[in-house]
Amino acid sequence: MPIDYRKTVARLEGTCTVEEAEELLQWLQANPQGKVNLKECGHLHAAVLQVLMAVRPPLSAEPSDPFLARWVTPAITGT
Amino acid sequence: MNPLLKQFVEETREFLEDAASGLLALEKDPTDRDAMDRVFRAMHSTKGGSGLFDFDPMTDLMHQAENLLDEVRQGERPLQGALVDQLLDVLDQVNRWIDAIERDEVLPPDAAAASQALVDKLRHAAGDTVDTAADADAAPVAEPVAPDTPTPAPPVEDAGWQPEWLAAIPDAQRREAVMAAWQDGAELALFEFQPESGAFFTGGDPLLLVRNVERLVWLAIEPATPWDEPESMDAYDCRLRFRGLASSGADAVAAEFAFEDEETLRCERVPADALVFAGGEPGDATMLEEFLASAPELHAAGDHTALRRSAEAMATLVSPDIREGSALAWLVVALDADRQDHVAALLRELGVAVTTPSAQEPEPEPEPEPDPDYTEAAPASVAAVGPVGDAAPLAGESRADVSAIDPQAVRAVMQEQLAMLGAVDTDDAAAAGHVAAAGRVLKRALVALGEADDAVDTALENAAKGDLEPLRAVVQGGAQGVPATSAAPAVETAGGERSTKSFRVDAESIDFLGDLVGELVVAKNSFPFLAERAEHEYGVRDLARELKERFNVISRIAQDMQGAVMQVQMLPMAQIFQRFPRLVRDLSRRLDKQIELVQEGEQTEADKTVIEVLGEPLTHMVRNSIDHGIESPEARQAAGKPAQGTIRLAARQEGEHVIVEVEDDGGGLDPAALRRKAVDKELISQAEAERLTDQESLQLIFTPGFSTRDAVSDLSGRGVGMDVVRSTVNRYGGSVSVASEQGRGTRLRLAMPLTMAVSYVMGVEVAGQLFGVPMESVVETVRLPESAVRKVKQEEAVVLRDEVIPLRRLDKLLMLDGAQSDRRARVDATYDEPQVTVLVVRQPEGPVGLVVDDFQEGLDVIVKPMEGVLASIRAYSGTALLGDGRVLLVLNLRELL
Repeated sequence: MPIDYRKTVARLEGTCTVEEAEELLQWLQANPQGKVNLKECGHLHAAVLQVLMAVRPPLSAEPSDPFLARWVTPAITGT
Repeated sequence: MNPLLKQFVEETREFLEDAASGLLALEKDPTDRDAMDRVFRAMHSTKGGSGLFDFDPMTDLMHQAENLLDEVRQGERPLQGALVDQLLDVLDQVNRWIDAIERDEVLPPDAAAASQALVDKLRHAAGDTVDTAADADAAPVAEPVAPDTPTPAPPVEDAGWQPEWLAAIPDAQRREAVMAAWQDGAELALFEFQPESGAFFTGGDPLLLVRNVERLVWLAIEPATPWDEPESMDAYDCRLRFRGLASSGADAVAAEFAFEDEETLRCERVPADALVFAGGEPGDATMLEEFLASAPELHAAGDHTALRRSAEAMATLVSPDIREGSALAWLVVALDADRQDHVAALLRELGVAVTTPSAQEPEPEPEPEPDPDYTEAAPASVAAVGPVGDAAPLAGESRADVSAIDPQAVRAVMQEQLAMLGAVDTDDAAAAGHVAAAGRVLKRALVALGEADDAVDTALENAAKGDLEPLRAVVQGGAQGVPATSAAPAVETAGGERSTKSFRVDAESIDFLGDLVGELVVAKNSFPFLAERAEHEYGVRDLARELKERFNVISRIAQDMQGAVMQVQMLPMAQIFQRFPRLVRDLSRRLDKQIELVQEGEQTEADKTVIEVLGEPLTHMVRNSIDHGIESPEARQAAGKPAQGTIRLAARQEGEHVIVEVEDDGGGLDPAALRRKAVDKELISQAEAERLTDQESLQLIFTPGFSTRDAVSDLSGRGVGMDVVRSTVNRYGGSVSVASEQGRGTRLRLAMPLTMAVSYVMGVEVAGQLFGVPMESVVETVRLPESAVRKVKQEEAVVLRDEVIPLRRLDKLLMLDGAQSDRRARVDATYDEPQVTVLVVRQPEGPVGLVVDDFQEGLDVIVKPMEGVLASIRAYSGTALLGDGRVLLVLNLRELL
């Protein structure tokens, strides 16, 4: 289960594939206040990244994966 | 010959032609980028190919020529006539070697000496002394070398790709990349990747591709277009754009995006120098005062260690976010790398007045500019030598101290070859050749570095199967990525021009195919004979009729086949025309004449044989025009003509003929002078000469033994006159004519049959033998009573429709004994009195009647020129095989009459 949808937080774990993008978008649309936890995320598909970049949910935890932390997080948070 | 070598010979010939034509185009218009690229590519490919076969002298020579040309390309050297001469000499020499290689499979023994002589000449032309370029053979980059500044930077060649978003790359990342480039010799690459909007549906993950880029220094992920509101967003409409900087080299980066095309990916090398600029806004500079006070002195004294210490200390005090802090940080980097050009520019950026520096700076200072965009100020000549880890002053260390083999340069060569390999399409028929060629070069390079081992061979084997990874690993084993100096042209050569739609076929196989079709045509002709026998000898009419039906079917197919083979054998006139620009150029320079060559209709096609036959005569005609036709510039101006003469070479198709005209606007022919000369040479009598009209006098140039020039020049007057042109052309069924106006010019017109494959001939019987007469010269066939023949002295003639037609007895002309001919007796038997059977043929002087014994049907035949000892018998233009196996001799009427 790559994305674990909790009440206010979506936890992305392992490798998130292209199939998850639509689901994540729907969850974010349904939970405008929802946060995203990337701590255990190893890699996310560009489609998933695009959803995060467009919706810009607050990150409850930044990824521990160095590549994601270094280059992808700034794209999501806009810093 | 081994197929690889054979391919090399063929390809190289094409490259050399390409290069020569490109050079001539360049001489005319030095700004012609296309021609320059063509020449460059051709030379580069030739060099690459020669490297494969251990033709070292050739590789060295091409290498030197390429370097010189590169300087021209960079605008560092004008392309003068003398330089073109020398480059053409180089091409000629290589051409001779290729001939030798084709013959003996090795270079002639004097190749090394010849190569050295030409290389020296080239260097002389390049203004280099032999000493400074002594080790250029090992280094692919022999740009003028500043002897005292060994720097670890990659050679500065083109400007690379410098998009405006370079400035968006943060200072820290730029410094990281530049340090990698300067200290480890890494090649920097910028890439911009914007997947198409449907990319997510194809299953790929663009982010994963980017993630796999090695040694990524910087990455920006941005939306290419603004996002829609989350409510209306389409999660699968890809809008992402990735921009990045990597220090693994453009090829390595591009390799990660193997399936992307230029629509979605742009990835190019970026020179490190382009990244060196201070970022941020100017800030509070008061703290710098101390530094500013000491820096000029330290810099002028060349005390870099102290300067660096001072800058480093200052950098910790000033925020790196403001321009001054950034400049200080860059200064440290530049000092570490001993990049004096950048040091000086950065100091200026900080407000330090840079005085004329110490002996360390052999290069003139870049123009002092307040503009922070001094990235272009890097001197163009930077040596490709090994990394220098120590920033200690290196003044006095001469280039000669650097080892003769430069590992960095060798690695650059290897990278280049790898890039070529990467561009090879494995489906391409030529791929194996490319891989093997590049492989050998790589291996030799590794041997030179002393790194060759078994792993190389294994890697090469894998490369041949399409897996380049092991090879790449071997090459990159030592240095971490090295600039692939001129990978781009190589890629084009390897991948761009090879079209899979067409392929090379040996001309011999086509000839063989043509022969087979010819035999089929002949074989099919035996059906009518068979049908006749079936009907008359065996009395089976039905079978005869069926045979004839079958014959028609086979005949149609054979004809189609013939058409198809003929089409294959068609070549454009450009094949012979392409030699003329060179010829005209060389000869006109030698004769001090100014001549422009205008070519028209190069695309006109004709049969391969025709093209081959036309080469000699046309060359002779053009030489004649240059030598005898066009006058010297002074004479031309005196005659009120432009100093530059024009030779027009035009080809076009007219019906079943291809017409080639050679026209010049020179002095023209003087009919009176021609007549005098002919009389002097006792070719004609004085009386005959007086009878000739001016137009007829012009034809004298085709008389054997005629030459209008008193002195035999080394150009056209070598005993091969226009008479040979005429007889050559006639032998192949063509004709040549001349028109000239004194003072205005001369036009020679050559008409050749479009194809020689199949001719329609009229069969005639003489003294029991069958001969063929080309149908196009037949006017009519008549039978007349003997009494109609009138004798005019020794000559016979008949009057036909109020026209006197001279008669020739073919049996006498061919020296056959035709007195007792059964055939004629049979003909005569059907008439009241003896008959003459006359074939009226068209000749330049008017119609001529040939007396034969009887006519036969018209025949489609494939005329083969006479070969061997028979080739000297001019009376026949060739032989053809008949359906019943007999050989038909085809008459050459012009020679005969």
